[in-house]
Amino acid sequence: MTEIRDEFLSEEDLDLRNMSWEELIAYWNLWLEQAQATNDLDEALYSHGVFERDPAPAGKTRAEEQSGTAETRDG
Amino acid sequence: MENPYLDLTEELNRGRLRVLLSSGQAVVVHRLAIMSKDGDWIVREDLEAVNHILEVLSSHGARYRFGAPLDLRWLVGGWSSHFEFRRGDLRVRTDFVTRPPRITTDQLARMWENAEATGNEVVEPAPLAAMKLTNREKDYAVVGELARLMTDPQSRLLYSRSSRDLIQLAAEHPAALEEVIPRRPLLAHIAEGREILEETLDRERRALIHANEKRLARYQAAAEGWAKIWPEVQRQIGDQSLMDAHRLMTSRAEGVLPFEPGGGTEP
Repeated sequence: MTEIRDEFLSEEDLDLRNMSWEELIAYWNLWLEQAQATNDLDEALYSHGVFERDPAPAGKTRAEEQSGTAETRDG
Repeated sequence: MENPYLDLTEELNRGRLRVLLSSGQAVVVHRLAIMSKDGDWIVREDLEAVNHILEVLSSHGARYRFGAPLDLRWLVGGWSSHFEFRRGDLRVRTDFVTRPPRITTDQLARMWENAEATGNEVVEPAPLAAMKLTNREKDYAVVGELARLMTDPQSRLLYSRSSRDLIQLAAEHPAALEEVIPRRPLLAHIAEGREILEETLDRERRALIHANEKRLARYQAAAEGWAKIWPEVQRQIGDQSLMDAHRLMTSRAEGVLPFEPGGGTEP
């Protein structure tokens, strides 16, 4: 019987451990390429550091321009 | 095979260890998950390191995003500097701090010593877990898995998010448990069983989330004046080289963006 343990991430996430270094880099690069699709949406937002969003009008996201609303960052 | 964040780390560390790859991209190198498209580095707090970073970013045609100038006077106060450039079809965002959150001065010194000794350019699981105690729920899942990568029982006890793991660790390492209870009061509840421990883990997570929200709010309040003039500063630096933009940005930020946020800096 398999022992139950607390799970935090998906099997797919943790499968990175089973990849060779070359496979990891290829998968990572592909993920980064695909993630470019949301560049317009997160144009004004920050992932790290102490700033949350770009205050410049140019930093307004396309989604905000269309809806007239502001997004909030979760971190 | 090339990767934008590993390649940039290598460039930034050419000739000397100046930066450590951190946050989301470090989590990838630790083979836990791919969750972020931006890069984040911890920078050695000296002038040569900062100047080298500016030169490398300049060679990539990077531009400043809203943030603090990459200048030690602000970085010492815990501020972050942000840049962006294109690499082929990729938008590469690069974020830099010298004082990562929730890391004490002693821990930071040890991080650099270990990195020098091992040549490892990536933040190790324990300090990375401390940095990931943010106000994002998803980061706590990463901390839970990072704790399982740690080899030192004390570090695992300090960062584990699993009641089952904590109960097992406490049984296997009672001396380590006694040692770290003062640093993580939640550990005193291990003997009360899983249900109580899980409730305490939830409360601890919410408290950590609120603490980081307060921390960010202090920086946001301190940056109000800078945010007001940023659209104008951004227009001024628009067509300039990064080095010229850096000089202008620094002079405009002086007297507007305080070197430290109100309430002082804290690890």
